[in-house]
Amino acid sequence: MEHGAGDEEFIAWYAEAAREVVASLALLARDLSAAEEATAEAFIRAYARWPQVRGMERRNAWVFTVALNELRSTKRRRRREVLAPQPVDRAWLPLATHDPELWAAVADLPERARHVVVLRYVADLTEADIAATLGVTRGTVATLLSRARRTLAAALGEDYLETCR
Amino acid sequence: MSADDRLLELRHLPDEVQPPPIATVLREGRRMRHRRSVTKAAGTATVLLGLVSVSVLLLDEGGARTARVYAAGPSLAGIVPSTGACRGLPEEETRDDPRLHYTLATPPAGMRLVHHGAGTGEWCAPSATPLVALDIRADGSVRRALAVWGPSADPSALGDATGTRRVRGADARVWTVDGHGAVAVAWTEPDGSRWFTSSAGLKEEELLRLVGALSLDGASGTATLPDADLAGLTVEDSVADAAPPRFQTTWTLLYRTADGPARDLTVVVTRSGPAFLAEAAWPGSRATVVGVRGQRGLYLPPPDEAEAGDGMLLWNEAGNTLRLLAPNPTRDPTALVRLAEQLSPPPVG
Repeated sequence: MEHGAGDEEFIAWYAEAAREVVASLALLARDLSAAEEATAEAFIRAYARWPQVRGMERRNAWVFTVALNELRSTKRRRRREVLAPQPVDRAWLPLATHDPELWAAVADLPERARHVVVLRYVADLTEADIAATLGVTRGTVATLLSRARRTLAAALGEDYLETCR
Repeated sequence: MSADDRLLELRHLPDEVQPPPIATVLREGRRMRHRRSVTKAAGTATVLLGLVSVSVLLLDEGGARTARVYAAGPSLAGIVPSTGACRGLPEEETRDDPRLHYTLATPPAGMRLVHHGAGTGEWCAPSATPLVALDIRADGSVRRALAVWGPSADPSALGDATGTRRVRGADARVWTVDGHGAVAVAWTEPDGSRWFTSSAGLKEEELLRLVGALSLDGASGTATLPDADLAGLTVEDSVADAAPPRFQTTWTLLYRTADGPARDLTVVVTRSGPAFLAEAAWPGSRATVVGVRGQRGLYLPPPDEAEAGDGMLLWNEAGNTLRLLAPNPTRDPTALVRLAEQLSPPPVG
């Protein structure tokens, strides 16, 4: 099939953002396949509403919000608790070649801390976008990030702790 | 290194983290647009027409593939809800199964292969289809078709029924589409088993008569029609014992011209082979029974309203059901059959 003339911008956005959404959701859900599914659904909806979405100031935040909602629905459908505190099965973790310890530590973070760290560092959202995505204030995001860094520092050991001081 | 520096390592995404292919997103997005526009356009009756369009538009493929292939939905997926029979298999069992990785002996004229890849996905089938009956013209085109889904079919995703009729001693929900008549009937048997029929080319009274003549067994999941009631339809024996499909692997070959647009060629391999002939029993399917690679197959042309002109060819092979989706602007089944004849699985080493 040939692409429509209006598709190019969407395709470029998808190429730039979709992989980050998958990785972020995988860390949040601890389930790579659910992350892929939710990402697909979110971008499908974005494309279906592209005339509206393309003009959004925070379209990345919008697609993350949709993806997170879809992820919760998917997990509910699978009758699993989404984002619930539970022992982490690392079998889901992507095979991180860069700093696998860090990925594992992030996966072990409490839910809210994991959200802000993932959205900030994996998804590369601004604090404002994270606030919009999670429906909290920017101050809350900053506080959660700070706490998360301390938790990571404790989990990753003394050297890492040093860097946080 | 600061804490932030180290956290920035999270920007190095693992290689296996790949987004679903853009082609899937574009295709499904177009379908969603279409469904929304159809739903907006008219009232209750149009809801079902939308369903019909979706079932056909699922043939619409297109766009460039990225590095990984996401499961493509066959024509009923997402239209009729699961009965809970769907169970996913571990991805690695199918995605990496080289027996499923078909290739084309010769690329389409003027094109070269730029990408191939596999993906897997659960396909939650609505239920088994213990009975499919077809009325086939001499040229292979299907004049009338009936499929019985059950014994635990839940057609709630069809939307609101357009009417209610008394059939088999029960109030049955009936979906009618302008220009197509009744296309689906759903009811519950006294034993509690839930069934529905889909059809093409049948008038409402004809469909209800056939529903009334069915012999159903909810325990064994069997459905039969007495010969005297077939009225020109022929029961396809081959589907009687087919289990509902539960899992599929999608194998995509992406060809591109030197300076032109990408063209997708998708092979969907479904395990636990479905009774694919049932796909003739949806209004608007305009199916044709064809011979494919020495097997009986079904050709579904692109829909008139589709943005892209992909057709679908379905057949059983080596215990799987294969669906070949490819551009088919001429709506000529022989073009897809010729393409299918060129498919060959790579040698399994």
